Amino acid sequence: MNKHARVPLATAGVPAVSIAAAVALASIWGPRLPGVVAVHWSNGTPDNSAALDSFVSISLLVSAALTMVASALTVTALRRGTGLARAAIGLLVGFATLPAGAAIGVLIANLDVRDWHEATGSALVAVVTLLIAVVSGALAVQLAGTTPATRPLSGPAGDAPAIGLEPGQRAVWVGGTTNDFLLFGVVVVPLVGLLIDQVGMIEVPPWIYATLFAAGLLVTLIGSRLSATVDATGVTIRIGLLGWPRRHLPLDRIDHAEGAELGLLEGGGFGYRVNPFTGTSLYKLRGGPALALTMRKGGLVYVTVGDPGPGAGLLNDLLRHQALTAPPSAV
Amino acid sequence: MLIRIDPASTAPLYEQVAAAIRRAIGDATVRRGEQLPVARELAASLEINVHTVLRAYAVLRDEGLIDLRRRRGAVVTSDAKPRARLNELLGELIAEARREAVSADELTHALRERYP
Repeated sequence: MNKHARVPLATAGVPAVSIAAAVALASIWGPRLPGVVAVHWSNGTPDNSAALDSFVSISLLVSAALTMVASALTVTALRRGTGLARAAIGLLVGFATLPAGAAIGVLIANLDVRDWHEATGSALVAVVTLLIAVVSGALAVQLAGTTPATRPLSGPAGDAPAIGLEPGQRAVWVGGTTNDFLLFGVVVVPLVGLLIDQVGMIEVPPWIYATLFAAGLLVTLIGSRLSATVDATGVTIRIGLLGWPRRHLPLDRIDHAEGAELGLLEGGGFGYRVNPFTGTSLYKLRGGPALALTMRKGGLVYVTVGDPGPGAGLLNDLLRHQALTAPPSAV
Repeated sequence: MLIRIDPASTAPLYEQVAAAIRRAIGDATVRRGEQLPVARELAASLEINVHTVLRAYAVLRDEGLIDLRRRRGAVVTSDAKPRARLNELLGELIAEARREAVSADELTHALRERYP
């Protein structure tokens, strides 16, 4: 089956089956269900109810809306040709199926009870909901199959950044950036507690200070520094003051590199961000200059570093040398 | 900071590494207080011996450009900038003199003539 039929079938068809199943069960079990059903439980005791018809309709409408969003996202990615992660399809479909699954679970829990107070089986609802979501997600993954990027790959273009690395020469480029504000996280975050205590006149217990201090320490150690190293093996991204965690992108997975300028809110903000549908991931500590890597499998990786030009140039030169010595097989 | 070495060059590798870092300090690509890469990692990236990198760092320390600390590694020191440019040019001058087979005495003589 063609990709353009399989992906919509997975993202729209699979949730549609769950929604249809919920509609069918509600109508078949209609005579055996009370007019008002239990929809929320605390420690196994029902503590909230809703009219059967409106509960089922609203759950299924939410499911349908989520399904439409999931389908729109995946079809957009398919049209762009950036490739689709199977995990992303599975997660989206599972998420869109959750309300329909919950509706089925609630129907089962309320089956053959005279009054909603008698409906036990909150564990059953949770299990049924998750089971339906997981099975739907897995089914969608199987249906969709793998979707590699279709964008043609060229390697570094003639006018892409270069540093004029001669054959036989070796080079390494190290770039990085420090966010000075986040560097003081260990001091700033606990101050929030002090502010609430002093200005808000709400007593803050010591364990909250300890938690704030730990969070601040984490911000300082992990969130304040980012560095990238370009050498003959590829690009190594080191996160945090201790250089850990780190990620290595091998040279043969990179198509070409360039310097880019990131907006302050571009990509959704700061931190490590992934968009599975555009295939873009960002390592971002600030707006401004960033090293932009176009990957062979599609997608872009941005790393905010100061003066990324020479790094991109070195990477392109290394890729050009690699292409000369060993032409990459068809991707 | 870009460090480029040419194993085919007559200049010793440690001097090439030192020259590249000197240049980076000179044009403020790396600034005061910043750490230089860990010697072991830099050596691995350049496929050279770690002692070559450490020797380059020692040269830069002797020039007063960096500080070598047990815990923090190589850190660019504050009073580096004014001499960085001069040291960079001196390094280039010596390298050029070597290429032209000009001895240290001849070079000093030429300098004295131009700089009385």
